[in-house]
Amino acid sequence: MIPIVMIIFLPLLLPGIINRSKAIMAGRKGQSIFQPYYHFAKLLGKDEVVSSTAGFITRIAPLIALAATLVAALFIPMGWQKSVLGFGGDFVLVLYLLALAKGIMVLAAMDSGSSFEGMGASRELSFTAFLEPAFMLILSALIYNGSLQSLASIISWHSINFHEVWSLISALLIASALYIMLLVEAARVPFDDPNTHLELTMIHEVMILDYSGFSLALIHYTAALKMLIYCSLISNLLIPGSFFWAPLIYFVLLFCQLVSIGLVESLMARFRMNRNLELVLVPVSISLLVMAALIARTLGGW
Amino acid sequence: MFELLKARILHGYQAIPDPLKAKINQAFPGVPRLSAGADLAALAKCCPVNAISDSGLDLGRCIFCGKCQRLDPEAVSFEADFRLAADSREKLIIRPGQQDYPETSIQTRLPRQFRRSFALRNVSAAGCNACELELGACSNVNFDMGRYGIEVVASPRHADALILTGPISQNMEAALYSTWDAIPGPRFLILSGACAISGGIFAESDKIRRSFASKLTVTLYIPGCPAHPLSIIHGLVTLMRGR
Amino acid sequence: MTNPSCLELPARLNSVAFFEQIRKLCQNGYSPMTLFGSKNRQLFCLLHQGAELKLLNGDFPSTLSFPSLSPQFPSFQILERELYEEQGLVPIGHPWLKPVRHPRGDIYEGYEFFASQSSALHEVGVGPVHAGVIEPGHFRFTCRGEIVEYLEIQLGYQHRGIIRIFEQDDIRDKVSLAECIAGDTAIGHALAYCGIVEALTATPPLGVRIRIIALELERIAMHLAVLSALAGDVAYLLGQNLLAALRTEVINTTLSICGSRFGKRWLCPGGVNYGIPMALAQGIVSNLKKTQNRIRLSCEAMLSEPSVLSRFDDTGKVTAPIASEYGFTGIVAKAAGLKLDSRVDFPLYPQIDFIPCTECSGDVYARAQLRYLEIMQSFDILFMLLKEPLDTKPLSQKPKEIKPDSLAISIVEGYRGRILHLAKTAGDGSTEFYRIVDPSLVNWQALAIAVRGEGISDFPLCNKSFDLSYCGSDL
Repeated sequence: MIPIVMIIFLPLLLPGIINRSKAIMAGRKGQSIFQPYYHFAKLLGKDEVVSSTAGFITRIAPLIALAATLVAALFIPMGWQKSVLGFGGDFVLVLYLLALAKGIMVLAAMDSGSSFEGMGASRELSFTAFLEPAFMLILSALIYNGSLQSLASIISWHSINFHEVWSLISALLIASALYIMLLVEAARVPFDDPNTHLELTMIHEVMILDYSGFSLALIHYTAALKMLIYCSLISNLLIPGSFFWAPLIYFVLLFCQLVSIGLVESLMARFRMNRNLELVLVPVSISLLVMAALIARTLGGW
Repeated sequence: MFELLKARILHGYQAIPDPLKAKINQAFPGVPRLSAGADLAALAKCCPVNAISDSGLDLGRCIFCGKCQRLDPEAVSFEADFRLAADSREKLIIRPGQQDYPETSIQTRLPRQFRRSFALRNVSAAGCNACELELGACSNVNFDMGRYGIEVVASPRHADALILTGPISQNMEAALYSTWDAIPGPRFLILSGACAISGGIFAESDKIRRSFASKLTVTLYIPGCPAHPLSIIHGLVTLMRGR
Repeated sequence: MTNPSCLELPARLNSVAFFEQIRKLCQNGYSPMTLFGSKNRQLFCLLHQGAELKLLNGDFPSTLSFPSLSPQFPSFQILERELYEEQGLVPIGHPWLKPVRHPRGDIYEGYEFFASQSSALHEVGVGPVHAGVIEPGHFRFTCRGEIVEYLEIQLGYQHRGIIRIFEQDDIRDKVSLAECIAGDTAIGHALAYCGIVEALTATPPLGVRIRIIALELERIAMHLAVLSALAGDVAYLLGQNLLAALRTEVINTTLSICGSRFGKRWLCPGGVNYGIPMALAQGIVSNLKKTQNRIRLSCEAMLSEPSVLSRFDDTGKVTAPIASEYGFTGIVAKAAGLKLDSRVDFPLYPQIDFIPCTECSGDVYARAQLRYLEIMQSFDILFMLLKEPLDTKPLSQKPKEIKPDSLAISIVEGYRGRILHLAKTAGDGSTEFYRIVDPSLVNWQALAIAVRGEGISDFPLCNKSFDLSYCGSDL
């Protein structure tokens, strides 16, 4: 029950916390933490302007993306060991749902007929081409020596255990790979600047330039929900064992991740577009490393 | 690394605590006061933009050059009050002896949904770049209009209001109309700076087209050359939330 | 030559001799500042080599066409396009006669952008309305994937017809208009305009030290604005916030003296409107010293930050041979290594002794580093000038009568580069012509050249590093 409430009400708080930490770093007051909620409420009351060259995909894309991401979120453990839904091998479904959400938005971007959105779509897909295999490799590696389990149990099985050096290393490695994936998926610095006003440099924002009103509100919510999914995976991975205070630690870790995103955004410049691809290969290499190590461990048995 | 830390520490907390009640430097020419017995004819002759006439001083034309004040300091004085914005063109005309300008200048309120979130789209239609820089300064660390939920957005489809700067050259007219058409309702038009409100110093040029600003309903006028960020923020926040 | 001053009207040549003389001078190393035609069918060309000026005067060609100088001397390309647009004289052999300000009103009427037929290339058009809060202009890219093969810039959206307003009525009353040529260079253009009026009326100005202070304050403030925006374009938020706050310090100093953050209403023909009382000057000096220290820390930190350097280095290069071939001025030329500074070549009074800064690599980093060096240099100039008392009355004197049949020239080093104002009065004292050459007019071509071969996502960075004025070029 509680995770469902969290899935509905928590996502919009995440960009608010990131913006607040950026504002504190900059030495100004900044927006309120609840500003994304006010923004959402305002957008609900606006009309929609749809371009005459757009087809039906533009209209249905935000709804499909939202639905896919919501269902995917139901399989993610959030602070408790169990997720709302779960079955053996459900991580494949989660991956495909997230890919569906992204794919439909990319199609809608190309549907609009604007050259910027086409460029943004191609950049987006070039990153996805590397990140999805990395995600799949990591999760496959984690179930290598067990039977096919649900995502929640995989994560809790491999979450940090301070008594075993091996689990410490693997959890940290996987968390860092997921962190880089989070930065790419959430369109944060150093991959993309969420506040940029330069349409030639945008990756994610350029795909939503043509949306307004209710569709735009849904898109903001979906993006925040995707951020919550990745942050939850990282947090759950770093919760030691079956701790009694797991939910509390979950929220603390969530908060720390958001503040760290704000810090990275304030202190680092954005990468050149061709360097982005280099960095996106890091999760791939980490996943290969983890996979190889887990196989070796099973075969070598230490 | 250490230079960065030192620079950040010296930077401190830069935001003006309350932009609506800030004290601006005494030298700033803000709300004008015309004395009751002012010789309007003599003042009108020296004004480069014909802002002074029998009815008084038109803030929509005034570029705050100070010529009238230097000519006759007894008749015209500009107070250091940045609360210049108004919601109707008639209110911008300061009559001789008028004392109550900022109190009654903005009485419209935006619908409730815009109380805490207001998105602006700027179109620079031949502005000289001073108004654009001042609008950009509104989102910097000092003025920080983001704290009121006001932001400048990248696409007109995301915006609630069009904030126009510049007198509108004939070459920008078409682009201006298509940007306005792309803004979803409810939408509002805000004119920032003397050039946007009346054409300013370019009003007599034959390369200027004023039909956009004169035909559409304008929600807010922000005088100035350029409009000071405090004036812009005060005008917008009063529209959003009242006093 | 003193600056500003009245020039002797040179002997009138016939049009063939006129263009021949230009060609000869350019072969000997002169480069053009301006080329234009006036109402009574006279051509004027102003060339310079270092601190030497040459003004030529010629007739309109009877065929209304002339052999173009651009193929041999590319620095004439935009001047000939401007001449064609204003006077209808066709430069035969001009490589690409495209509109400059299209005053006829319809931007694309009959104009085809340079396009390629290859299927491997695609076109992206940006503008005139941009996503950020900046002036309008159209950029047409021909791209191969993410790499820009060719960029064509089409401006003219800011055209307000300002020259016509200058040429009407009394030339002595136009200071507010001059401040609006380009609002961010209000002091630069106002100073150039005041110089024209003072030369035409033989009125020596008062408050000259205050004028230089105003000019240097503007230089510092606008260089800080550009550095802050550069940091914002690469998403280096700390740099953006630090420098924006420092710029506020500097423009609030200008506000405390004259009431306007951009220095509008400060200057007037004959002097200045606002002096700097001793107490205010002392406060300003102590404040600016602290600001200078913070700027030094912030800029050194930003320009040595690895992630920032990886964006700035080697991006948007303009080398010295190209810069001198096209006649670029200001920051563009200095960053490529050319020593072109009007404060040295055509000094205003009082003359300041200094060596202009230059960098050599001509990329975004060089331009950013150059701006930082110029800021520090301007601070030194300010502290030197602020030592003397600056509130001796009177602050200005009313300009005298306009001399008829006189030609005046006034050159100011604005923060972007060399600003030139040129004016001539007719026999009855009215203005025959008034020409304004903002440094951006010629420098826009530098942007078009610099982005070739760069990624399209680096374009905003290159554009901001040049920081050219749309309205100064469009008038």
